[in-house]
Amino acid sequence: MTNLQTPQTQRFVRHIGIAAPFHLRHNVDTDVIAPLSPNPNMTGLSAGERAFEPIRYLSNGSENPDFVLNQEAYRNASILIAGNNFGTGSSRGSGVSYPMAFGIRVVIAPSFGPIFYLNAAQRGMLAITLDGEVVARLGDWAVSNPGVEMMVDLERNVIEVPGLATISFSIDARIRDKLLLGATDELDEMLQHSEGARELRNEDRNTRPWIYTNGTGANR
Amino acid sequence: MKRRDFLKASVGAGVAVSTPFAGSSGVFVPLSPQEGRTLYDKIWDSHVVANLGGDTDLLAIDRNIIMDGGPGSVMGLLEERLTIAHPELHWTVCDHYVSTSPNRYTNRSLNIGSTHEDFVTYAEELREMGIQAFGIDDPQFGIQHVVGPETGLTQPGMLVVGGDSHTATHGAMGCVSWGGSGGAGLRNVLRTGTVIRTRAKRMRITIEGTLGPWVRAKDVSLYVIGQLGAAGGNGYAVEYAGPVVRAMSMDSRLTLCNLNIEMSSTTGMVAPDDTTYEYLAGREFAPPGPYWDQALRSWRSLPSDPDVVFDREETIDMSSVEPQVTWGVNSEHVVGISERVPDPDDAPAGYRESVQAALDYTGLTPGNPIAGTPIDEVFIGSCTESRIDDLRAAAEVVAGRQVAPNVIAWVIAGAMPIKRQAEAEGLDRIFTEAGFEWREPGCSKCIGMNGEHVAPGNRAVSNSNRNFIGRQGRDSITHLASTPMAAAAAIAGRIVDVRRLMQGEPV
Repeated sequence: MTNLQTPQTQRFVRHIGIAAPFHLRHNVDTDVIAPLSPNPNMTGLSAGERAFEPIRYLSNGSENPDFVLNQEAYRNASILIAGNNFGTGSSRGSGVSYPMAFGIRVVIAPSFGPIFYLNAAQRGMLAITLDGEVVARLGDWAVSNPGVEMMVDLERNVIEVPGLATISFSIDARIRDKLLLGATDELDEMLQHSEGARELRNEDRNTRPWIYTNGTGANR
Repeated sequence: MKRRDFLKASVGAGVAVSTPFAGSSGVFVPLSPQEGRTLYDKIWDSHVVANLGGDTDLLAIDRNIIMDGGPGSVMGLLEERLTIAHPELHWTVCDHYVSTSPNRYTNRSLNIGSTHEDFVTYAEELREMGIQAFGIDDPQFGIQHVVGPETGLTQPGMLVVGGDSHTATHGAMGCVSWGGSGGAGLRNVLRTGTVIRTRAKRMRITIEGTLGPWVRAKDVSLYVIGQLGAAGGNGYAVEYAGPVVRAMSMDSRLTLCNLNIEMSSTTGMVAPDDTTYEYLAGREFAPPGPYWDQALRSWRSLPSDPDVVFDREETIDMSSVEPQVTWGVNSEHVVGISERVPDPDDAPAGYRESVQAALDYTGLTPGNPIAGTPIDEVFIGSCTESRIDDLRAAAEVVAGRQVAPNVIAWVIAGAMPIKRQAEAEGLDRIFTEAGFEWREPGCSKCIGMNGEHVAPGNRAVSNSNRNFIGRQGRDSITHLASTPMAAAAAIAGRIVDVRRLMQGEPV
């Protein structure tokens, strides 16, 4: 297995699942979502088990009962209602792939860490940005309706929640198209412009020749 | 007409262009001739291969920094046997997985992970492919965001991308940089020399006033993030400006841009000036002699035009700001050294639970002074503050003093040339005589990917960049502060005000 393969992404059209309320924790970072330092009392964890490990398990390896995804009604949640700036921090792809391995397909938050947001699009996770008040309403709904499913429809850009008015969301057109098609790799699109890239590069070699002088052995 | 041709023609005709495409229609909307362009837009515009709709462009990159491990690393690259479009634009250094033990050169097994064990072999293969690769035996070896500027691989006007989020650091050189090009993104940039990116909004943060004694770039960053929030820069490319930034050394500017990502902005920048050019002159990969004057002329045209309008302006006055220290689990959880641990009940609306969770983790009591908190470890190193200015400041604090009993204190120069310079100045002896360990360059305990951690349950003062839960090791607690503040904490065995320590006052 090589590291540079395009991640296999499913088409994302609509998703029905249980929503877990996690919206009161802001700035949940990539070291919490996908930790690098292992819990010494837990070995051989799968990617899905490592998602949120520092707040999901106690140091002795037992579950933290306060963490929402450990609560019975939300164990099978696939939609996370999150706080501001979810996924802030590092660029690691596991920040997205670990929660996906757990089963999370959709995260709804007032804002996302910028690199996490792009990684999510690349790996087929739908990250929806909504006004803070709307996220709070969804989170409160998930608290009062434990284990009840909601529907996220990317074709119609709406979230249908039992008992609430339909919520529309907007999303970057490029990301939406990619998720709908399940084709998140950008290589083909880049190659379509290879002639333009070559022209720009040739021109640049004339106007800024110093950019290209550090090849192996050139100055060493 | 292709967009870049238009830009060239327009600029030649004295017409400046900011965001020529409006909405997603692709309709060209020339802006009024009066409107100037920002540093960010000038660099962005000159790298556009094609517009892909809206504010999204295909851009030609000037430098790509390849990660040493994890998905999208040098290993994957070699396994795939990719055809590399412009090998001279890519470089790599094995910084995350190497041991920082002085014995790492003789006992190679200290360097954990197959990534490094074979890096010497990889480096040779990469060099054959035309890609610059730095292993631990290389005289320029160090942390990637230290090596780039130190060697002159990063220069003004460049578009620099990398896998690591702290690629933001390089913007201090007057270039546009961001991290996150791992996985498939890495393969694509290697194959094509291009990236797809949506233009950010522009924010200028003007730093005014004067810095008090022992207040440094690190304190500016932490204070700014405390004011604007850990999400304060989200969606923006940030240009740092104002008299305080102009007066800063390159080492300080690099600290400032490094921490820009901690307020969720991937791109932080400082316009190049004589400080930048003097810093670069003569460095190994700086424009060679025949090109230097040509490069200089190009660089001088980069700073934002005086009449330019930013999407957002923030002004921060540093005059009465004291050394900063964090109490929680991200950089917005910060106070001045004479302040107290906040009460969750005083948190802004909606933030009570987050503040409580942070205090539950760091184990501090609301209302207690942050100063006086006992500590177990001090870490001085990382891409944030491990340059010669930082080491000199730490040595000034440490000279003639002793590390408190039972405190584990490490100092790690960011790169070999800095380490050699520090040793030539005798700084290493100041540290070791005081009880610090003087170790070899690498990322080390900032992230712990090499197996070096802050021990479980230990409380550390670190001059690094992240105090996230478990960042420096599971169940470890991190207080971020400046390098001299970290040095002072090592001496006192507690979080203390470096100013008081240096004035001989009781701490």
